[in-house]
Amino acid sequence: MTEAVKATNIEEILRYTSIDELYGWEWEYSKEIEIRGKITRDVIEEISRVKKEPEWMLRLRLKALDLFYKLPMPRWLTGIEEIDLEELASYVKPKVERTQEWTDLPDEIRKAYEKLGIPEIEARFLSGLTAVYGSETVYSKMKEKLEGLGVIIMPMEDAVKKYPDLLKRYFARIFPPSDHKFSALHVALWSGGAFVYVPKGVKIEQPIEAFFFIGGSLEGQFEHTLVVADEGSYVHFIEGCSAPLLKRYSFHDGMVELYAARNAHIKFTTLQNWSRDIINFNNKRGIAKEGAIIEWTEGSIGSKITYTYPSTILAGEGAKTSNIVIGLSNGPYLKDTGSKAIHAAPNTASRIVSKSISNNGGINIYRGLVRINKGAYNSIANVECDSLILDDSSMAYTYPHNQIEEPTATVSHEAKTGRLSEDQLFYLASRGLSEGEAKSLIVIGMLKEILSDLPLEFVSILNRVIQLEFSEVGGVG
Amino acid sequence: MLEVKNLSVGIKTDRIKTILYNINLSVGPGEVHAIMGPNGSGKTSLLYGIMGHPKYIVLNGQVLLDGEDITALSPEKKSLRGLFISFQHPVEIEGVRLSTLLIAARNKRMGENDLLKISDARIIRDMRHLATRVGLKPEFLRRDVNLGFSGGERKRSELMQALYLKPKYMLLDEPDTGLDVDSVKVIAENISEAVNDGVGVLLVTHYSRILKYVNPDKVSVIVNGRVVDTGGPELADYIDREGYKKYGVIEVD
Amino acid sequence: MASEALDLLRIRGRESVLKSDYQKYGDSPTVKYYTKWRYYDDYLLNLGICNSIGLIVKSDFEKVGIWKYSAHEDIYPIGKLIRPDESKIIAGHYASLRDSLVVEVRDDSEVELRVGDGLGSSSIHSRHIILVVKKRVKADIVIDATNYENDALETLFVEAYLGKKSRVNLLVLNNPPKETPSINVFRFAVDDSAKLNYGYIGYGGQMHHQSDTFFLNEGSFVRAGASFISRRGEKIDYISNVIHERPNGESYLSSQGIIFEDGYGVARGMAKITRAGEWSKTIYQAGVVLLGEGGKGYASPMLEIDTGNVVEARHEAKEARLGEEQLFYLMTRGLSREEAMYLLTYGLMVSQVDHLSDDLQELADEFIKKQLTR
Repeated sequence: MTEAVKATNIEEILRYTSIDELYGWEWEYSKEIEIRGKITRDVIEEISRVKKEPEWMLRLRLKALDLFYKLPMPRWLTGIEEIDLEELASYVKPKVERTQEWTDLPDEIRKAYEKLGIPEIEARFLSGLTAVYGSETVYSKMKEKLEGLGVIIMPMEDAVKKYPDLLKRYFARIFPPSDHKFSALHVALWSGGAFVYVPKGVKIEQPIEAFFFIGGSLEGQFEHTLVVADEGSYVHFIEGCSAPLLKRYSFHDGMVELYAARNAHIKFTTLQNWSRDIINFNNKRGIAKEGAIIEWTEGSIGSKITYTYPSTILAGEGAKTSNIVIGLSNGPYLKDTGSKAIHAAPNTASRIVSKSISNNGGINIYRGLVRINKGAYNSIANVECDSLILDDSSMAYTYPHNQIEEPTATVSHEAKTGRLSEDQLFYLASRGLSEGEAKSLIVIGMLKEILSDLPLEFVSILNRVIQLEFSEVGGVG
Repeated sequence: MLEVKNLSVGIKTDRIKTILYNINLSVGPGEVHAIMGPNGSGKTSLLYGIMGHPKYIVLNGQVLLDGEDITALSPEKKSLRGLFISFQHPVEIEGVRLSTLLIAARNKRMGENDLLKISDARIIRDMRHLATRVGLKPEFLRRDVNLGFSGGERKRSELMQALYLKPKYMLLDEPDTGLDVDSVKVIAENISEAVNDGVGVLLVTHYSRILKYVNPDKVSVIVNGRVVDTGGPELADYIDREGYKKYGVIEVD
Repeated sequence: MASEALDLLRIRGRESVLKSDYQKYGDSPTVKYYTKWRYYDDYLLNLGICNSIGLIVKSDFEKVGIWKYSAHEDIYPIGKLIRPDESKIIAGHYASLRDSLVVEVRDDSEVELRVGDGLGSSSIHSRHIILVVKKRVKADIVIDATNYENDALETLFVEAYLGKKSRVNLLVLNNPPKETPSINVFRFAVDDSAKLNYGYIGYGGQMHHQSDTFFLNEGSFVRAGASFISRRGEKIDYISNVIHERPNGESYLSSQGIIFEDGYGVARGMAKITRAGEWSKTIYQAGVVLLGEGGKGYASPMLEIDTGNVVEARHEAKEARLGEEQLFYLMTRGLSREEAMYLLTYGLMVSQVDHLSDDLQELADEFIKKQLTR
């Protein structure tokens, strides 16, 4: 029902004059269920009951809960102590039935997506869209022409019931809960998200999107995305997220698992623009089999703190991965990002590009790992880190690890930290641009690699967001 | 009218060192005022001082634009008021395409809130057309500003920006050095055309070669930070023949 | 001989051995600790005190002052650059320490500091040097740590203070014990406008941990080159750090590891520019090459930049100049594989110390040749 959507949404967004106006303040919405307090076995059983889950999934959740209590807090993470899990809602079900029509959604929910032009973008550019509000998927739709091809795009809860065999093979297997405390927490509490299956040889031209919205303070969001691309298929998945300005913080601990079978190609793009009140923890990992390609591109713009390290295990001969991670920290915020590439088969190739911009007291951290296992003959890995620090009080840290156990491998790594010189700023000023405008141009230039394969509307919204970030009036304080 | 009155400029290093002393000169709409002088005499510093480079400190004097004192305005404001500087050695700006810079600078002048908005397909067409006109392949618009440009490509890119942004006054710093004669003609034709359209030009040049193609209304000679001579086109001819010997400077190439 | 400061240090060491960890954080998501600390465990259980200082000095004693720390304990501090509570293993060093040697270089001179024996039955052999180079002094210093007895955990700590405008060339030759673990911790406070050229040539041991750290003051300069070889059964974790604490410093750090057969080697460390160290420049390189099957080589060059006001800050994991392609090339020119390997390895190691004075380069050269042809 796209007619119901005003065609002028994107135009309106481009007219916002401050970043606060873009986000807006949090508003009330009706909740059907909200679970808070200590995360116990009872809480997990309650969530599983509400979702009417099969037994195997409940067992998986409980196993993950045990791990959550056993695993240590990752002490090396900065700022993690700000999260008080007992204060957070571990499950929030908004009072709404899941639908395939935007008009079915109550105004208070729909406006979260309309504000960012999502329905319009869906109608014009997407093969499918999953919209998550709080803990639940409120909207899910796939374009009809894909149905005949055997493509599956559905809410994760439905997939758990409908395709247990597929799910048991991949769900929490690519990224096991035992990895660390927050992956365990995620698997114990997961709710919402999308399952995508692309059959052999099917190439989906228009991207699929999942959009995550956190509506209120002190909420936890734990959505799960699983993309399985069968042999020789192609899919581009876009992940977007947003939240209004909140009175208190909220916590996001999502997980993405990708499986690219022989010669499959998965492109996964994240545009993270949470408001300044979200602590954002991501668990992202893909497995690429023989000849397969996994491309991660991640633009981290918003949030108070973001931890994200999209990773690929190159498990089949000739598999390739490209991981592009871009972080902007403008103001007293932290982006702790990075990437991992594990070469576990011969002739595999990885390319990691990290770009960061720190301004106004912001901190960017890059943590990277390239590992070449013995026997991964002639593998090639290439890492580039570029950090820009735009003033004297901002910071950039780079922590790369190259672990080589195969003598025929080639690993190269380069990193540089630079600043905008007085001469560059003067040059741009002499063309009529203020310092903030000059900085926003530099940032937009840095984002080019991510933006190149996105619909133009995404790009113009993102460009606007960056300009608002650096605008002198009503900017981030 | 762009006027420089009693302008003294210092350069900031560990202390402030005076490099220009009481400079007086002016250029009106549709006029060309050539600033000549030997290497290191302060020609570039004069343009930097007028435009407000942060390392160059105005110690006294004024810069007036149509009678209004703009000395203390930021370079950005001066640009928006209609001054344009083309650099002799422009910096590279990685990450910003030439086209992006031009669109942003233009939108700024049009009062457009979104710097990157392309409101009209003609914008790009004009740009490509201008690029071709100054002898720059339009592909250069997609490259990062000056990044990996040759000396000649930089000169063309700087001039192209000047033409695109339609300033009232252009401050051109050695717009022809390193170019062959044919290229100098192209550059000069474009400058002359702008002048015919009413743009005033302060043209800094060490040699008088370009002045054979761009007729100066006035010529000032700067030596050791001071204006030591002022005249008409005949002064340029004189320097072409005799060099700066008369002012106590002999340059050996 | 009784020294209150040393007594206190030993007590703090003993306490910290029990309280502290080997390190606060794991090193990487897949290799928890680059130094295999389990090799050190047994030696920390029954701590005794060494019988002697365990060091030999050669120099012109007109220009260089030498004394035991306990003899004049109020002249220079001990345990200030390397604090006893930093880690379990550092605590163990202090707990066992008999006394430190103080070396004060007062005038332009050459100094050789050599590891000697006679430390007795302690399970840790702790050697400790407080090295002071007075301002404006030029010094060539060799630390020769190549003769070990193989029955204790060997430690060598250096707390060095390089005075304003001093010019120091310092070469470390290290052949750590093969049947016991070892650790060297060297810290250099490089004062205003001082210049340090540092070189490290080392080999793997049963498990050797080498940590070199340079603290830079205003306008100070450090160029440090390190190369190490880890052969069959050997392990080395080489760390070099530089911290720009004051403005306008310059540092160039480069480490190169060469791993033969199933050797294990790590080249890592951190270059940091603090906010007070603005307008500094740091270039950091770290690389490892594997020659033969079964080796493990890890490189981790880190950067921490606390301000946008830097002249330059970059790092890279160096592209190996020594690999199968290069070996093949030399072999087509008539060299055997071993000869080709020797030539390339030798070249790589020598290039890491080519910034040192001629005398020190010669010493390094001799040492490299002797070890390679062994």
